[in-house]
Amino acid sequence: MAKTMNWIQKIANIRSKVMGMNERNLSFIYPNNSRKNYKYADDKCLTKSILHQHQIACPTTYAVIDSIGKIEQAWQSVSEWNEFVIKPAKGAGGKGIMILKKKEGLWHSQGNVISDHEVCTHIANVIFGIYSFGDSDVALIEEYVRPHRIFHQIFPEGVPDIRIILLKGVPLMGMLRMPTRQSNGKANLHQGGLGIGIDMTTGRLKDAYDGEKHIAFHPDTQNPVAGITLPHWDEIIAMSVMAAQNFPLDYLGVDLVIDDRKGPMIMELNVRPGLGIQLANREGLKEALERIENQKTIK
Amino acid sequence: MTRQTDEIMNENKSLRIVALALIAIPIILIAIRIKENGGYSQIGANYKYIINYEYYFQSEKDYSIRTFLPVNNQRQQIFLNNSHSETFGSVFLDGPNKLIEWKGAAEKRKISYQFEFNGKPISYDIQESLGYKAYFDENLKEYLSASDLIQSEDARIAELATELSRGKTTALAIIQSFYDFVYQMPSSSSSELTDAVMALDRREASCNGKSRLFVALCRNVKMPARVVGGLILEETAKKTSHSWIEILVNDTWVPFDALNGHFASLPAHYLELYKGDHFLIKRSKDLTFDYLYVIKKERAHDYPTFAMLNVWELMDDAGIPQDMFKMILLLPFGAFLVAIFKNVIGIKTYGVFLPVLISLSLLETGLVAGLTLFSIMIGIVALVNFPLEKWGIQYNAKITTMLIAVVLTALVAIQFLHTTGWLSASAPLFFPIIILTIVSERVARKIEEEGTKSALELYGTTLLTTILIYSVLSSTLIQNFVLTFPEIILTVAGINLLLGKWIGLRVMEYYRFLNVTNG
Repeated sequence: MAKTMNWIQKIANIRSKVMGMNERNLSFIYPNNSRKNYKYADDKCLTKSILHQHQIACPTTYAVIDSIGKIEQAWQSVSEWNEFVIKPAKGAGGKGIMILKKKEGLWHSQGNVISDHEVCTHIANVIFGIYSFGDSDVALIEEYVRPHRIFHQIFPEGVPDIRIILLKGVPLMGMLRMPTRQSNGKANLHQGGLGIGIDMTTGRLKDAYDGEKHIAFHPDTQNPVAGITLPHWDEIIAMSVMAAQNFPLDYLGVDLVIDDRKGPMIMELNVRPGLGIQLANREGLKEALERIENQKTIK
Repeated sequence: MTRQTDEIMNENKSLRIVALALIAIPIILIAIRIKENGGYSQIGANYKYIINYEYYFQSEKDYSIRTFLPVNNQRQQIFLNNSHSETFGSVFLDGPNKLIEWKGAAEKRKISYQFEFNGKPISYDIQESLGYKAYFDENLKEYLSASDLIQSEDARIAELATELSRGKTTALAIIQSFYDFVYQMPSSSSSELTDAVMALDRREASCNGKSRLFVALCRNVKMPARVVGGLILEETAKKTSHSWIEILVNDTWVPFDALNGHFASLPAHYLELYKGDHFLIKRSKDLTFDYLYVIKKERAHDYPTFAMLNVWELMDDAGIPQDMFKMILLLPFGAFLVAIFKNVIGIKTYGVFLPVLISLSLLETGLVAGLTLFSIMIGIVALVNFPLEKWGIQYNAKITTMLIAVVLTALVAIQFLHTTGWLSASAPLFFPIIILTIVSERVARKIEEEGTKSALELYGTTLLTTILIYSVLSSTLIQNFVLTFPEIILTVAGINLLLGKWIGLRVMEYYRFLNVTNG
């Protein structure tokens, strides 16, 4: 009997606190983000040009390749750099991203030597749209972000990023996504990365969520995670708010990285930010979202 | 309230009106159709037949014409179309049979008698363990003793019956042996009166001769049996009647037609008119007489009045196979089920319509065999992806190569199935080739991106969804309902619109977010 009550309580609790996929789509994404404006988030080239206009920091673009015929020429022009990232402008979920580093005159990707020919094929695939739901796409070559040393202390591989969710310019919840050995350098939750909740006022990290349970340490290095304060936190929040104010997208996920030398930069925007952030924070989004949504209506 | 929220409220109001109208109107229309077509009887149009006895005659003196009228039984239902059918005829019962007799004085006349027939097929399972039992029941004497045309005590009949039943101890074995003997006899189209012994002598007989011989054999070994007469119904005008037999097995009269090969079964289009060895028409001698059975075949249970679109009729008129209509009408139901699985339960699948398309294919191939075949093909083709990916083959070329792999796999599967007979050789062709290609590619990509485990998990939930959809769509009741009342898909559209505005948590989200409130 008591057990049943406990379950009823739990279900009622989830109902009142957790934002689900249906409500997120119908009550927040559709009314706040008009479909014609999705492109500002879905196309990284467009995102970057608006960020540039408002002087919001983002990784430097080395080249934009929009046709197969321009690959070789562009490849020549970026060869002077020692490291950079190739990504599809309209890719999602980290698909199609290739990180290249030059060591002893040879290009390396994920620790393996890679030939010029293989890189060009990858760029051609990007342009062909294989990572962008079949639409033709543009390949973006941009600077490689060197993660802040504080992350290096926790886990030395890959690029951790910070996701801030905002509604009508109000930052509501944040999460640090951290790669693990299992996630192969990627920070996405469903690829085995960690989701770490962030205290929004202080920037202090909460426990890490590995998809099943909350842990206070990085599972590969056993280095502590909870309690660490993210550097540049106020700047991160300010940049997110500024981005939210300057894009016609009222329900927004802003993804940032912290470069060791240059500080926070916006990597991309997301019009359909995932709901796993609630698990990372052990906190529901429903009340906060509804509060903000209702404030506007009364005004 | 701002103007914007007013607009949203109005939007929701108009949506709700449209949705409710879409839900309600078809239901009202269906109710009207059922009412206007004589109430609900059954759905799934089968054929009904309208039978017309037509007699033309000229008589110089008093005459009488007598024939049988059908009665309702487990297999057949008879409806009288028009009240004046029985004009001048008097109806009476004789044992299990119903007769009609027309009498009159010198005249020239045409009599027509019309009724409607609704039949269903029947088949009996005679248990193999059921032992042979000789009947000596006084009540069954009529079905056990010899008659002029059924000479069951004749020496040749007795010899044959003994030979055919030798060493056989079960009812089924003896009946099967008699049946096989009679069935294998060449059939003749002779209209000459053939009795049991004549049929045996000539080793050739029409339906009547075969029936009499079969009955005689049964009666010889004291199994009650009788001739049954009637018409085989088809869209035609004909003179030929038909006869088959019934044997009393374990106190049930079981039908056999040793001419057309129906063992312990009868198809739906057999009209039974009388039991016993009778002639269908009995009339006065000096009568110039001609007759014809005019039979019309029509759809029944299709609720034609007020049907905006009668799919059954369209099917017949346009010569379109039922399966094609079934496919397109079931598609919305399948898609709607997927919407429920995704948005209400929260089950993820490869592609939105994929489970529906596989389910529809499975209607042709069967569930277990079809899914096994499908999975094997997906598995084989997914393997092709890995070398292609390793070589860095460009996407368009890669997907074309995989398409070729699908086609080759399908061809090999057809050859394999043809050789083994494990499944209909055409089974692989029911799976849309493009779907197989895309799913294989997606499975392979999922393995690469998120590992074999999550790829298989997603494949598992896809199959689960497919099986659930299949179990709904394979119901003949549902199939017949959509074919009879296709307007119901508007109701599905209405419910679907409301579902599209539903913001509740998905069932799986309660599980997923259990940890949110645990802290």
